[in-house]
This record gives sequence, structure tokens and C-alpha cells, in this order.
Amino acid sequence: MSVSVLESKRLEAVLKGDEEVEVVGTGTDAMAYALMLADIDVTSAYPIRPYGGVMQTVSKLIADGYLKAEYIVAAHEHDQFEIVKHASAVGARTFVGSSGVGWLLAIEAIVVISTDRYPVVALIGNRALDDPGAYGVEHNDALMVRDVGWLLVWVDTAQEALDTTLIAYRVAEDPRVMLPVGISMDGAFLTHSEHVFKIPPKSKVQKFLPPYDLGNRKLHPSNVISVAPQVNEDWVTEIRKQMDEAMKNARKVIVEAYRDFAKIFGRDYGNPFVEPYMVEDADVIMVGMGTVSRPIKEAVRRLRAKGEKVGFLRIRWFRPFPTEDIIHYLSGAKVVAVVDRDYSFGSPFDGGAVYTEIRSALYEAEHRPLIINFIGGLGGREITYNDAINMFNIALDTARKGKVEQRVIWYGVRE
Amino acid sequence: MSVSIYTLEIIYRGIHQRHLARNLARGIVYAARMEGNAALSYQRYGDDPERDGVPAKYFVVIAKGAGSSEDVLDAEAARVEPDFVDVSIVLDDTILKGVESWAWQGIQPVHLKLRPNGLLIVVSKKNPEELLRFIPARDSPYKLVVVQGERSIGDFWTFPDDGTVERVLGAIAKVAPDVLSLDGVKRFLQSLDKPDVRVNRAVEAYQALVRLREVKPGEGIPYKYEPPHLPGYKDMMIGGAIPGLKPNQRNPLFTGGTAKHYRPVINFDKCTKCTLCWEYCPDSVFDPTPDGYFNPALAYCKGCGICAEVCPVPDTIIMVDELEFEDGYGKFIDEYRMWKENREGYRKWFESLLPKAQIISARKR
Repeated sequence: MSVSVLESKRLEAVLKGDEEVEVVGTGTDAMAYALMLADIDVTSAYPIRPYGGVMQTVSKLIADGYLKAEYIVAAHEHDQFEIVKHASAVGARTFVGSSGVGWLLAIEAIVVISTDRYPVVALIGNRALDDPGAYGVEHNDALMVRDVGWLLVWVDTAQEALDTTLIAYRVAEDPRVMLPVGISMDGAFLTHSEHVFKIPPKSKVQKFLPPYDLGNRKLHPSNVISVAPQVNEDWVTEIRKQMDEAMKNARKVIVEAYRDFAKIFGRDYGNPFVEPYMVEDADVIMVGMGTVSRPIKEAVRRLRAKGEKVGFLRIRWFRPFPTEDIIHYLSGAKVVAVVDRDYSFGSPFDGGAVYTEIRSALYEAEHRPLIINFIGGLGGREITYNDAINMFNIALDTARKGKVEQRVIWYGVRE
Repeated sequence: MSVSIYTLEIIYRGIHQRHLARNLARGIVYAARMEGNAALSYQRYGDDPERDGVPAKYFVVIAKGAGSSEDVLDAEAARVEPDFVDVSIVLDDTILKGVESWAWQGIQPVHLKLRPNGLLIVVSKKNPEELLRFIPARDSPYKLVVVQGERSIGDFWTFPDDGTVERVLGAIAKVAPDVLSLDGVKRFLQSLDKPDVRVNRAVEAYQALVRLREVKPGEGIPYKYEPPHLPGYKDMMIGGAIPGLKPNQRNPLFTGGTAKHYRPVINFDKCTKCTLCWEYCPDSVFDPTPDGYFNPALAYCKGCGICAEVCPVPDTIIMVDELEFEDGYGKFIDEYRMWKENREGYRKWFESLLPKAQIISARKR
């Protein structure tokens, strides 16, 4: 009997048939099934929570014969990312991932993956950076690479994790992009909770995702090239400018990918970059990334029932940053309240990273709303719908007063 | 009083002369400051002078007439290279045969940055006339200055302190008193240990060791420097990848052969075809010949001497000073062809070089 006994028939159905099937699983399971459908060639693994879930499921899928891929257990995270970089260079579709300090230990290899322009897809199982030790979610691990050419996307459901993984390969491997994608998944709240989601049939995935083709950059004895030469000041500006162009191209490629995804799979995410929720007439709009969306949506519904004009905007793609969408959805509000599950110590207003970026984007808005920032949920602490209601009430009060009394609020911090 | 800016360049061999060049550059700065002027110095960073023999550069900029505050040199700070130099100092005369820096700039003439009528100061035992046989001609005149002296070669961790710094300072004071006066040089050397010895060396050079020759446009060997085409971000391969070399092909854009001050010369009559030179050469310089010999592609040779060291037959691969050969700037003699075409002539030529060879290993003597 195979390890995947509960799912074996369902997996066979999507591999052989043309219909999607429903399963129960964690966010990392969902991602592992996407890797099966994307038919990855090489993955390298080194255990750390909460990323470890995906490597466990992938190893089961390989052991049970659902996926043919090289599964390389690395000596540590830095090796892990070096392995996939080299595999990607010779034409293998690769998957890798880590969490928290594991992600940071690999940082040198992570940066050369993007500067060498290999379309690796990685899971960043978001986890607080040590010290002190904590398994729970914070977004600072992923945000460490926000400036070095990684596309960064946050998902909030298992279904979105699966779908976004397929989209990530399509975007990363597009010749106009050729940059790696980091898929962020909140530790525990998504990586270790079981939800129902649908696995599409592989036959449809093949229509959506063309084979990985490096073109003239494929390292092969019949295509002799030199990768990552020493170039010094003569070339570096041009190489960085190429990355800048690729990142800007990604905005267009992402739109195309979501459009085709909706056509082929019948699941339409609407705006690919952000998920607006009851924002049309909202006076107060809360902004966040990841699973915090769920309780905030509940709070929006409860406050709307009482007649409060509140809404929520979830940021999916943080890199490339959805500047135009941010301006479009937020500049009509009286107050924007950004919830950061991260921090950026010493940043312009000592707030979070998302808050700082949104302030920057809104500088170009014709109407600039008031902006407040909640730092909360650090180290995996809950943000419940009651917490979200409290935050909305502070934001509504700000709207009534017409001025910001405290820019950055450490929500729930013990004094 | 108006401000005058003087720029000096020191070209030296990586590793072997790193401390020598640094001490000379700092010495010029100290001396300039002791005369009440501002000065600063910087390396051509991309050269990586930790690499064996690479022609590397130091620069010194002096501002006269504005006091000793460095602010006057703001425009000269944070540079990779200056646009022009007034004085170029070459610490190893074999560097006259070309400068290929670590950046992809091709083989540059030794006086590429020198202003018209500038000074090219070379430490050498040869006279200016002899050295002109190695220097490319140019369109503008310059002054070739020889400071008579042994080539000062240390290694990575040592500084021979053999008087080269003092002699060069004395020579600068002699031929470029506007830049540095003998008084300034003396004051600087007196601030060091063994002041009398050092001052005497500088004065000796000032009085007796300097030969100056005006060089007219067109004098020298023919060589036209073409700066390489650097691709734009739209032209280059993604990620800065570059087309690789085909089997048996050598890189036309980077040869590296200017890194040597000695080269291997091979006595093919004694060669046993053992393959060790070919196998051990770190730069894959040896081309196998149809009859089983190994011919060094000298344009790519860095002069490390490993081939001579591993050769099991005494006096079969010898390392000989570059100035024994009137070639360079990318075009080198073909030893194997010379030998094939005239074995007797080659034998005589080899024997004439043998006494001049560097002793590589006592084991083999």
C-alpha cells in the first residue's frame, strides 16, 4: 500500500484523466501536487519548519511513482540552492525552498540564482528569524530578497498555493522574465492546516505550462557558454539593467499567465496582483499579505453589517510591486491601514516593509489618503477577527478625526 | 595662487611588486604633504594584484597651490582610473611589452594614459634607446626616462626595501620638479628609519642614475590599440553569459600573456615528449604538435615557470627574461616552427639564451 493511501486514487485520476479532483491537505501538500503536475526534474531538500512539509510530500510522490524527479538531500540550505541553480542551468525544471534562518543561510546562493537569471521556483515557508527561536510566521525572511531580482508572491489558501505554483513556473520561465519566484506561505496558518482544494488534471497543466527552454543559455557540451564570468565595472550596470527590464516585463507576463490560467482551468483570480475585498466605496481600507486576509475579511463583513464602510486589499505580488493597483484601489479611501507581519527597523517612519512601500507608491496618487500601520502577528501570534475589528476601529476613528495621531502601532504589544 | 593638479601612474607586477608600488605611492603622497600640498592615492581596483604577474596600477594625484586639505581633490576621488596622467612610472621594464589588465580592455600600450609631453619613467638596466624597441609608437611626443637599477621583485608578503622607492623619488624630483621637489623627497625620507641611507639613494639617483630621451611621434614599434566593444544590455546574453570557447580554441578577448617577465624557451632536441609541461601548465599554454612535441602559445603564457620546474630533463625548458625577445603586444614567436625550419640556428639561439636563464630549481642543476 502506498504512503499516499488516502489520495492515491485521486492522484491517479488527475495524472491520467481530464477531470479535477478534490482532496484535503495542507498548503504544502497543495504545492507538492502542483510540482507533480508541473513535472519538475530536480528538487533539493533540507528540513526546516514550516517548509519541511513540502519536501515530505514530494518525497512521497516520488516514492509512490507519481512524480519522476531527482530528489537531492543537501548538506545545508546553501547547498540546496546551489544544487537547483546548477540543475536549472543545464535545463532542469527545479523546485527548492526553506524558511526563516534557513532561507538566510542560503542567501548567497539565492542571490546568484536571480543574477544568473535561472527560473527556480521556491517555497518560503514564512517563519520568524532567530533569535529568539520561534517556528511561527513573520515575513522578514522572504523580504530579505525583495531587492535582488526575485519575484515574490504571497498566497492565502491551499488552492491558491497550488495554482500560484503553476503560474510561477509559467512566469519565471518566460523568456521575457527568466527570474526566480519565491512563493510565500504563512508558517502554521497555511503550511500546517488542512483544507479542501482541487487538483486539476495534468492534461490541462500541459496546455498551460510549456516545457522549460533555456534557449542559447542551456549549459551543454553542444552549446558551450560561460556563465557568470568575472566582469567588474565594465559589465555590471548592464547586467543589472537587464534584470530591471525583466522585472518590469514580469508585470505584463503575470497578467497573461492569470488570463490563460482562467481560460484553461476555469478559476479566475481577477486582478492578479491584488485581491480587493469590498473596497469600492470604502472609507477605510486595510492592507495585508498572506493568511491575515481570512480574519480581516470576517471583520469587514461584521463591520459592513453595522454600516461601516470598510474594505480590505490583499497584496499577492510584492515583487514586482503592484504600484498602479495600489494607487487605483487606495487613493479613494480616507484612511489606509497596513497590517505588517514584519518590521523594518529604522525605516522612514519606523514601520513595516509593506507600509513603507505603500507610502512610497501613494506619493504619486492624486489624492493621498491618511496611512496608519499596524505591526502585528509577529512570531506566529494570532491576529483574530476581533483584533482586525479593533484595528478597523482605530482606523475609523482616524478617519473621523481627519488626522493621524500615531503612525505606527505595535498591535497587542505588552508594555 | 592657482591650483595645479598632477596625476601619476605606477605600473607594476601583481604580487611581486605590490608592496613596492604601494610604498612608492604612499611615499609620493607623504612627500607632497610635507611640501604643504594635498595628495591622495588609489589602486586600479579591478586588477586584482594578488594575481601572479598581472600588470597592475596605482595612481597618485597631487594638488599644488591650495594647501593640504584633501577637499581640493574631490573631483579626483572615487575614480577607477584617471583620464590622463602626467607621469607614468613603470617598475618592471618587461611591462613595456603591454598591459592587459584584468578588466576586458585588450592589450593596452604602456603609455595609453600619458599626456602629450608626459614622462614615462622606467626602472631598468637598459638605456632608453634599447627600451624603445619594446614600446609602441604614438601620435604625440613624450619623454622616456630610465632610472638605472635592478628590477625589484619581492613576493606577496615581502618588501625588499632595496632602494627602488628612493631612487624613483629622486628621479621624479630630477625630471618633474614641479610635481615633487628634491627637498620634499628628502624631508619624507628623513622621517623614516635609516634616513641617511635612504636620502643618499635618492640623491644618487637624482645626480647620476637618470637618462632622459625625448621621443618623437611615430618612434617605437607599430601597434594600434583597439578598445574592445563592450555590449549593451540589449545585446548581451541574459545574465551576462558569454559564448564559450570551442575545443582547441583560445580566448581572443583575453590572452593574459602580458603577466610574464620570464618565458619558457624549449630545447626540442632534448625533449623526451613526456607530456609533463602540457599536463601541469595551469593556463593550458602547450599545443601538442603532430610529431608529439609541445609548443607554448606564448600569448597566453603567464610566465609562472611550472613547466620548467616539472620538466625532468635539465636545461630543456628554461625561463628567460622577456626583454631578450623583441615581440609582444599579442604577437609572439613560434618556438616549434623556428626549430623545425632551422634546427642548427635554433640550437645556437638556445645556447645563447642558456646562460641568461633563470635558475628554476637547484635540484636539476
